[in-house]
Amino acid sequence: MSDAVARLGAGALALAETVGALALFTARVARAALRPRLDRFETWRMLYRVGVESLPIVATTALFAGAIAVVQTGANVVKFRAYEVVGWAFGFSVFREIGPLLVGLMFSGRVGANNTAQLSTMQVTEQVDALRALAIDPIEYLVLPRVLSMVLMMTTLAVIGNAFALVGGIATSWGMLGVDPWVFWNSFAEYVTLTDFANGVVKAAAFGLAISLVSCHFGLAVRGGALGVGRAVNSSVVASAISIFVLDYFITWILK
Amino acid sequence: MIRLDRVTLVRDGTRLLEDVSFTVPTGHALALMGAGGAGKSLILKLICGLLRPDAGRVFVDDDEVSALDERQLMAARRRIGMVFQNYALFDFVDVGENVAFPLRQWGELSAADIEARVARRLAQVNLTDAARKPTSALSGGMKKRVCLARATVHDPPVMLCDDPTAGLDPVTTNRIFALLAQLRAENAATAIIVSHEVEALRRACDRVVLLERGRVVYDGAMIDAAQSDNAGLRAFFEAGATP
Repeated sequence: MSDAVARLGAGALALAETVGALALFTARVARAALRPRLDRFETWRMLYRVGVESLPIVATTALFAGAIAVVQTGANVVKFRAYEVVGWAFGFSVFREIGPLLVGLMFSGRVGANNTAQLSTMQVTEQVDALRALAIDPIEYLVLPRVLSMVLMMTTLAVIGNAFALVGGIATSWGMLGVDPWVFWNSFAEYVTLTDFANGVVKAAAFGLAISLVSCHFGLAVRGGALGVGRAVNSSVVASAISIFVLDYFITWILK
Repeated sequence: MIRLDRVTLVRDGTRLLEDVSFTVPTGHALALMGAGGAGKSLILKLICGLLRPDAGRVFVDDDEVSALDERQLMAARRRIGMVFQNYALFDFVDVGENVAFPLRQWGELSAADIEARVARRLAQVNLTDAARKPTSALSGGMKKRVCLARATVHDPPVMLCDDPTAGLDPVTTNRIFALLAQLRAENAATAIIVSHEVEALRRACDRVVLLERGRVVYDGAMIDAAQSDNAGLRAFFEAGATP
């Protein structure tokens, strides 16, 4: 019994330590962002790596997310012969919820994990110390371009993902339910509002910010060698996923 | 001038450095010797402000490095060139850009001036032909020379060299020490060199500090070191290796 309590206490302390360190790190990034001195080359490099290189995987995810949304609603649509609302049901669920959530999780797995691995490798090979020794602030040089790129690109990819999801939704409802694409589109265009779209965009931006801060924090806070890098990547992916769901809950609640 | 005044560093309850004091006058070179784990690299990191002491003070010229915040440290570090034991070269840029890196980031020189400085420094370390190579394609000796070039491209008045010849063959070791001497002479730089190469240190440095388990056990002139009463130091000089 006492062992269990001790383990619970140790776990709570470790969680508090991680959350506290992440909060301090966020404050440092926010302070640096007040007087941003972005390295142009590094920022462009990150925008390309984070955005352009993620496009295929995000497009594929979104395409199938749209298709899955239609498959899930398909049985009821057929049962109630509610073909004229399939576009609305798709748009409401995908644009508001499934789209940003799935793109966020994919983005976390691909970009966030990669970012943590890169920064933690730089940390254990003393490249971060070398930056500091050369009077270059790692927060300004490494973190700010990554945060900016991830927020911008996560938002952009979510918007592009919506378009791919729409294609997936239309194709599936046509092929599986026999709903004419124009019927789907009319239902979508009539009932899905700009608010639904904006809701997803706000979520995507928040997820991008969370993934960037979490992945940079775990990357720069790494201790130890290769083992530490592995642990950091693992912690980063788990913490990013948790952040995404917690943020999703609060944003959904606020924007309901 | 570099001065450590009763510096103590504690990590995870272990005293890694205890009551360390020594001074390196401006323009002089100090050999920092000791067995592995004695705390030599930690001292260099303290001087560069990469670590903060738990007690004591660290001075570089008029700056009390140990009391500066991170932003003030940025200014102080521009006067320091540090050669890392494990190279710490940036793997996302090529050799030339590694050397140009601090100059480009500081933004004080024109692109043409930076190119000229980098070309000159690469020529001095005999790496002109390797300028466009990725750092992963270099041998250990070449990496050390890139590290040396990057650390000195801004002509710092203070040089900190952490085992600049570790794992290198004798010919490359001599070449690195000759380069160090040349670069140091150009700016009359104050230097601390951590190394186990006793003969090379004899030629390069005028003072020696020996560390044992985080404490200074000898601090004196290089010329007297071989005849010192300190058995550990004598063993170093007689064997030319770790006692």
